[in-house]
Amino acid sequence: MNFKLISCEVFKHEFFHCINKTNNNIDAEFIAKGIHDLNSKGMQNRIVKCIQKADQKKFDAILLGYGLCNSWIYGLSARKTPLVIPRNHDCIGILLGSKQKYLDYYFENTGTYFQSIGWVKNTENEPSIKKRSLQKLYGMDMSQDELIAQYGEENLGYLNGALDQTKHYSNMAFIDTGMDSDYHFQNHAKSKAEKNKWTFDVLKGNTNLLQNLVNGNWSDSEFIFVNPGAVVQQSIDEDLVTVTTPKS
Amino acid sequence: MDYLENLHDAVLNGDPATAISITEKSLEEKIDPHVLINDYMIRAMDEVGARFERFEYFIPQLLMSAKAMKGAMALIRPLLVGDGVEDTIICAITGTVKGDVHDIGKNLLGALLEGGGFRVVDLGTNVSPEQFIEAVETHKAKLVCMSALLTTTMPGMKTTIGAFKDAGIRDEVIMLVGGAPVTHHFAKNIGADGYKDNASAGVVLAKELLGIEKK
Ligand code: B12
Repeated sequence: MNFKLISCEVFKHEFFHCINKTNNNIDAEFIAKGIHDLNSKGMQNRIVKCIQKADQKKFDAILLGYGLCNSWIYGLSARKTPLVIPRNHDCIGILLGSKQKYLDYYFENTGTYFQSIGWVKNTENEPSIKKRSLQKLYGMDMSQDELIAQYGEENLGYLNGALDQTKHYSNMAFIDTGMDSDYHFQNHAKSKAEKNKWTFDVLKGNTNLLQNLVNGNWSDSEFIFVNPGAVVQQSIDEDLVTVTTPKS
Repeated sequence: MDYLENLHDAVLNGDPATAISITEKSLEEKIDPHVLINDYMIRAMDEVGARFERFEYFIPQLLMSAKAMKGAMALIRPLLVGDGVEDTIICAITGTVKGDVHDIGKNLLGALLEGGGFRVVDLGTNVSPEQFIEAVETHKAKLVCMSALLTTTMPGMKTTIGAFKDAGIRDEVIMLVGGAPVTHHFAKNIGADGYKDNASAGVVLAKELLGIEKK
């Protein structure tokens, strides 16, 4: 089978590993992780641009390496080529290989900052994305100097307290997906945790979901299948996603 | 009393020092504190919210306006206690649902609710349904505002509304939901009273649903 893969770069390492092991032909394209910082529409537009290009090329399916992230997925529709998407909240659940495992750990350990190879590697956004990011739009990315210049030294503490991005964290969890280089990145994450005085945990992840995606092994419980004409919508069950069947 | 317009401007421009000094001066001159709140500060915060909604104001600007109003209110509040009006001020509970620690948006909503004349009790982040219920009972709140930024935690809003039903107090409060991944469709289907995609519109909606007239 011939598949187009359009994915967040957060999975790049793991996907290369899976692509090496599949019999299918995979034309892979990775998009900057930073587009998560755009608004939902901006993120969707960026991904749809790639989908539309691939749609002209007669692939058997277009595989999307994304979760529900940032609600980008709602309103998405398939034109000529079917779309296949992991039925999962985000990269954390996908790399853990199971949505339930994610939720269980998550609610037991609120205040956890998750890391994986892709999270450690892609921390800085490119300028073109930064310019259009929510952080920029909201003024959440102002430097200490800018804040002082605009609002005065005496208000800096107050503003920092309100804008602090990390005050609620107490734990960092690195997802080990069994890649050769995991250890190196794990150490990197660990030193970040130590610097912030957070506890550090390593979670056993896997590449099962990503492998199933490229292998064409798409069970209904693990994947959303969007046939031509169908539209992805938000539901109110735990999955938060449903696909409307096209009118015949 | 011309200088009172400067109180409006100090709040609008996020200038806590000026807001406080004008409030001190006007209280010395025995100006009715309700006038300061209703005719000047709430009007200013309404405008702050509107500008934020149009992306004309950054979050730090909104925070500075909130600080200016808070500073003035700290002087005024003791004078309101016991005059009977304080009891009629509607209490709003805000909180980010269980498992979720995103609070920037929720705090902005809190600031604008306060700016809109509500008494706000903020439960912080990672708030369980039981905590929401307890707070409503303790503070006799009429408004509950839940925020969620994660799809993993959004279902907690449904659970919380369910818990209010089970406790038999669902009809005693207006329950609003918000946060980036929440939609109108979701809000309606989990039985919330309303949803808005920004804090400023949320305050307007809250007032509408509670039957508080907008001046
Ligand atoms: C800042 C941020 C953080 C900060 C939060 C700091 C803080 N103190 O709040 C930090 C770094 C801590 C963080 C952590 C995480 N985050 Co985060 N975060 C964001 C980000 C970039 C912006 C959120 C924000 O503050 N927006 C600005 C405010 C002003 O907007 P807002 O909250 O929507 O609020 C407005 C309205 O919605 C409204 N509103 C809000 N609440 C309410 C309530 C009512 C009743 C009403 C009427 C209105 C209303 O008013 C506000 C102003 O108008 C979003 C991206 C995004 N697109 O949203 C990701 C995002 C929400 N995070 C995400 C993720 C995955 C995480 C982590 C799991 C990451 C990790 N590796 O561990 C953790 C989880 C932590 C936890 N347990 O909660 C994902 C969620 C994906 C998903 N599955 O849903 C997002 C979408 C980014 C992405 N990668 O796609 N995050």
